Amino acid sequence: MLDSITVEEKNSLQRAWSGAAITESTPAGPEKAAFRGVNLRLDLLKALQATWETIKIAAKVKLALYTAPDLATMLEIGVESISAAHTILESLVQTMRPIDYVTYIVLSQKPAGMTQAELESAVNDLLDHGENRDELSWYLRISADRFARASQARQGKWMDKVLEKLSDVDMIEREGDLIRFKSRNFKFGWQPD
Amino acid sequence: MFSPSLISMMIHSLGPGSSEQSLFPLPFPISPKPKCLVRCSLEEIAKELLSVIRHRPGPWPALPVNGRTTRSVEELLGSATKGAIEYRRFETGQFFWGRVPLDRLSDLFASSYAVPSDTEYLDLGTPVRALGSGSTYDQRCRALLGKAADSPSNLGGRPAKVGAAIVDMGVTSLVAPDDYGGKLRHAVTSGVELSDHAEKVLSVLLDRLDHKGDLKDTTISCALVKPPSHQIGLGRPCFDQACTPEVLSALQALEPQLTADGIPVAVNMSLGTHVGPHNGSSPLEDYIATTFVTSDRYVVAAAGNEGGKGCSGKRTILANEPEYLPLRIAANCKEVLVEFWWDESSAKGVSIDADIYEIVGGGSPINHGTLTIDGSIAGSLLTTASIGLPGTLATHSLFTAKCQNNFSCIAFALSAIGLASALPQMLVRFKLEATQDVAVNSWIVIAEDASGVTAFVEGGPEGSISVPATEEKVLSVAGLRASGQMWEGSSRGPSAEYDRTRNPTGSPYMAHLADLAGGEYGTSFASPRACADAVVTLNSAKRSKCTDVATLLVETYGLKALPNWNPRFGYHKQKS
Repeated sequence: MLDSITVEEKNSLQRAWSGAAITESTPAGPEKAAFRGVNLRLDLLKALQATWETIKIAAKVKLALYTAPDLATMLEIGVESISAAHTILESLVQTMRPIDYVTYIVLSQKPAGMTQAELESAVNDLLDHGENRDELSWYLRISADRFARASQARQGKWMDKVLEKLSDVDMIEREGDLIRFKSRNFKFGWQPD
Repeated sequence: MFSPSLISMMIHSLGPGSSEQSLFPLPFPISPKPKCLVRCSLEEIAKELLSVIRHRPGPWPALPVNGRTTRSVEELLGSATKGAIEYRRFETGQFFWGRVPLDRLSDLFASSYAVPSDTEYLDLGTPVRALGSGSTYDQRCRALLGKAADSPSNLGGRPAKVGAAIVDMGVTSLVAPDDYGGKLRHAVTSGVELSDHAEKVLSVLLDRLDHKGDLKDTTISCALVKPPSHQIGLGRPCFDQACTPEVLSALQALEPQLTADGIPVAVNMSLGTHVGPHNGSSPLEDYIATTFVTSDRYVVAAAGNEGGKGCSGKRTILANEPEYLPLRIAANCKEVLVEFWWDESSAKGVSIDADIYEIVGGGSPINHGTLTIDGSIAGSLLTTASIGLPGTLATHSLFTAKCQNNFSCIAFALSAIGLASALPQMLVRFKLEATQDVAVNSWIVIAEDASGVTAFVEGGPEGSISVPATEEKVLSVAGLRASGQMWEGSSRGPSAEYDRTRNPTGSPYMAHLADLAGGEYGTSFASPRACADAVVTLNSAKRSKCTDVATLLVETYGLKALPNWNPRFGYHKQKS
């Protein structure tokens, strides 16, 4: 199966995942027990970009790597960044409206930003014509039921409402007509009070 | 016209079924492209209700309904509701009330959903509550009633010159209510007896009349509100209590007795419902104003307690500045119904977003969906499918412009469906916006838990005033401590301060002592004192000067004129 991924693709994924999470120095002492033994700072934007890249490649070669260690093993990287990304995404997907979450992850594909029309079109495209649903569901931690609910929520001026809610929780920023994904860092591990 | 709340409860009362066929809108499959599911028109709702009724076996639950129509009630509701519906004619039509089976109600809805509200208006019968607590005052009542006069026609006894009456809560009984040796003249004579609350209220009324020396001239009537004899449907315990139709039945029973007496009378109502537009136009208030009150017959009502704090909410919205009103829903509620009312005499452009969250284990709220309700959906029902809720939740929301006179209304309902036996702990965050300044009042109409756990998180005390106390022909009475300070639990009306530039509604009208004894307080006990004072006036030469509740108040308490109105105690405090 590994043979089906080119060296370039493997290197690309390695770089993407390695860049998504930075291992931080840990304090001395037994308290340093942290996220799978290390302290991490996860860049959500980079993690999502790595996820999209993985979905694209996994779908192409029909990889059945539905555990984080499988993927890490294949890419010969630590499992922490992948697991951490999944943890964050699961947290988001469980607390956000499905349509907000889908819009947010779609926006992460274009760090330079998208107009509202472009974003709406891209979300519609994902929900109406999105292929690779299995990969999308697993890597982005969103179930088929939530996909369906996101689809149903597209009524009236739904994108206005989505952007309003994402702005309220400081997850996007606007510059002129452009809407940008507002990245966040998440820290995992022991922190002194 | 059917009120938004009634339509919502009709849909919700379709009841549990399998997830495939349980709930409206049945013919709309959940598909990846539900672009057509933004709304249902009233016509579509009517068709679907009839479709469900036809394809599912009964028996159907009966919903409490009160209404007014210029048409014939017999023709409207047919023989199927014979015995379950009561009605009374007035000048231009009929009032009717009772518990109407859902199938019959759906038929009526299908034929008359487009009838305007000034021709016909049907509203959900809303739960009423006693405005005090319970204990036994039976012996006190017995002793005092012995001093009361007999009916005016009892020439062999001590015929009365004036009357006093109470309309109060009854409890189901297999025997006739105790008439205390014929001294308490019941208008409802079977299947019910005095509740503890009714005994207390009656004892306060009698005490006051005795103290004033007028009991010997007064005949005492009583109309007990019968609790429903059965639940209206499985899983619908919210209606397993007296609602406004039962109150109307009690008033209907009392009216001919008072008319036959032909003497001046004051009728005390120490109960009410917190629900409604609170501008005097609910069917219960409409009935009292139009058919019950006469030149010599007054209604004195408790203004309400704040025991229900949190069941109402009010927001004064500045144009284009959003306001928020969070509603906490306790776990294990089966369904919740909330109404919003505002004065739309000029266009206000009100819209409400209902942001629906589930609270899991006290942790972060899970945002399930957002429902936008605005004028663009006037007369339409937003469906569950339109906002992508989980399969265990259903919401139906209806916007009705000019629902009652100039008042517009939004009903928002949320219920558990499918495999879910009840709603989880939830938070609905209402975001209210308007294009013009406007005050929006809201009330929790239905929520199973009676403990107040389901409540507006920042619900203020303003909405605690009760119907029918908000009707201007009713003397509504707030609660006072003996010190002259307001009893802190008394309602802080007016609840319907929709437009601050207008005159107040006059509710509460006055305040009276609210203590019973032993530290018990309630506007339930202020109201019968004011009622007794009114009887004293009606039993005197001052009666000829009384033409309405304002002159009654002036004459009773020797006021030169109505002083400035105070939203806390009305026009007058009576400290003793």
